[in-house]
Amino acid sequence: MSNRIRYILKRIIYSFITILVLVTITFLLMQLLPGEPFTAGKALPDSVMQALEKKYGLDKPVLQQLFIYIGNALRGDFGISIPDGRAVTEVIAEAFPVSFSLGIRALLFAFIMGILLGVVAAVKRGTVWDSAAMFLALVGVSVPSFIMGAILQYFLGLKLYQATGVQVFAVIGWSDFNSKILPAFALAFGSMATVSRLMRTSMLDVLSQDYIKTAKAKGLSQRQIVWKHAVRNAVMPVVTVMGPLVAAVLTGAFVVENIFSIPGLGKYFVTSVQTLNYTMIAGTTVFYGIFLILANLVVDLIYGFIDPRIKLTGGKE
Amino acid sequence: MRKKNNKTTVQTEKYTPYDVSGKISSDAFEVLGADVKSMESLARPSVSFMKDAWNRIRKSKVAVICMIILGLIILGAIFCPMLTPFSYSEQNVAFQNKPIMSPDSVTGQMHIFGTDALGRDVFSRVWYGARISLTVAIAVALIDCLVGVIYGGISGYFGGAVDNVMMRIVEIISGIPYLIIVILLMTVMERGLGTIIVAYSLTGWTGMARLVRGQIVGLKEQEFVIAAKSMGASPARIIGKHLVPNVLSVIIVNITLDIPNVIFTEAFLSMLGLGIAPPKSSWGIMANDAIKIFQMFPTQLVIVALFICVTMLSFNLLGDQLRDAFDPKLRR
Repeated sequence: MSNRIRYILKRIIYSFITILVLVTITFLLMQLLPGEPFTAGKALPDSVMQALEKKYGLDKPVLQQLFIYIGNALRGDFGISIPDGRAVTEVIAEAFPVSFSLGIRALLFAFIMGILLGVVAAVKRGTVWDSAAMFLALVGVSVPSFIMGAILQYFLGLKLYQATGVQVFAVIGWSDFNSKILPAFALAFGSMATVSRLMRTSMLDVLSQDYIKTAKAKGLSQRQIVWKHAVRNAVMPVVTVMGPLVAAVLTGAFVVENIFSIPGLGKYFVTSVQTLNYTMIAGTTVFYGIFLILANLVVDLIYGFIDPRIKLTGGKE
Repeated sequence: MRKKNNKTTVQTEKYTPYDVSGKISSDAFEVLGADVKSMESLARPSVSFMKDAWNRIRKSKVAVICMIILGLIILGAIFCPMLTPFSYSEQNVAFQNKPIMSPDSVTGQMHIFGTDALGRDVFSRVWYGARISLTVAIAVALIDCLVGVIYGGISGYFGGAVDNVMMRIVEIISGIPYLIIVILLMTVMERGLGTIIVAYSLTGWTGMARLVRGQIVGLKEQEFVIAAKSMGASPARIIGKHLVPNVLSVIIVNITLDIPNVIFTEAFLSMLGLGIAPPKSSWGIMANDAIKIFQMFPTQLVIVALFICVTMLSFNLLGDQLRDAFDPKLRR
């Protein structure tokens, strides 16, 4: 048990170091960004510039600014988005729930469909079903989400509407249910493919185990064997890719939100990158980074608990 | 090919196995001679690692088709921009968004894939874009591989404190989300081909490093490594000559699967306006331009999407097939 606690502590400490490194890198890179923060509008007199720099602490040495920034970031204050004067934290708090809701839909969809496809492919190994499922998975891995999004928008949004006169799927926006289907699907497709490929391999592995033979010999039905004995064990490795999948969905949203005009954090992030709004870039980057690092941490810890075969002896595999 | 090493016995006429006393006469035996040289020679031609892999990959139809497709795309990327009469950046404002196979309004030459929103020839752009996208992808995959192999090799071979420190560094770097760090780097750096390659490969090598380290930790206790060590080979030689060739299969598969990821990253960042600077073209930039007018002129997106998807699909499939071909469990 103490091993387990040591492992957890170790993981938490590493996550914390990673976050610090990320904040430092982000801050230093923002120092390298071309241009000054207050040169956007008309030229300001020197005294005003100095006053502004003093207000935002830009007159202090860089290292001191870094510590101030880290300190503020730890308290959840990422400064002010200079063009519109809103607090970065406020923008994040407003936009992230939208992204989160989109991401959760996409993740759930990717997992449920991916697992189903993987199970079908493994159980019906070598048949048309298997080939079809794996072909779909390959397409999913090879078609980038933005192309998927545009294609869905065109055929299911526009063409279907023109053909039937009923707007089954809304093309843009984020309001009622029918506007949430296409973006979630576009975002989920790649992850679904990853999950189904992994699930198939893992299922095939499990299905050749002795305890499956035992279950068969006991006379259990195929359905019971698959869903009660095989799937439960085969799902384990899929849990390990949760972390990277969350990252894929979160970053995939940058583009998908843009294509579907969804007012999520991804869209804000992209806009801030394009307009070089550096407090906003830094704030969202750090926020995303912390979110993903924590998500990874949680997945690792969950995996350690649900799979008793994993020995939590830290670091060494 | 079998050579003369098993000469046929020449049977003598007066062959008498036993004499009167029942002893075996020594005449009954003939010294055929032991050809020392031929004892050591190999019965079959030696099959090198690459040859063996090649023989097995050749049997897979899917892999061969993928290689042909990729070969064609690479050839096209090299030669098509030289052969087309239009340049990738030449604009013709009077001749925008034309469908495929439309002759040019000025010269009458054929725009095979039509023109884009600025009247540029899509055919030239797509092949020129292939150059950029593939150059970036292959360069990044190779750099990732090189750095990863060296880093992972050193970490795995030396073990102990060195390994511990090096792997903790990898853990921290790979903890930072890849795309986010690349986006950050791209906002700061100038948007040239070189900087794109640097930004993509700056954090991408960690996966390869982990993989190689894992393999080498398993290999370094084997006899051939001990033999090499006892003969006085330097660590660099042991890693480079004895360990890395043994993990080559993993490395090749990983490079093949890394390339489509980089193509995706490049396209993705171009969508955000962080790719190569216009008027240069890459698949990502073309996709970005085409998506804006997709509702009216879908063919432009379809063309570039086909190029992106077919290339990624081929690399992914080839990687899968290579993995199977190299898998020792599937060896006969």
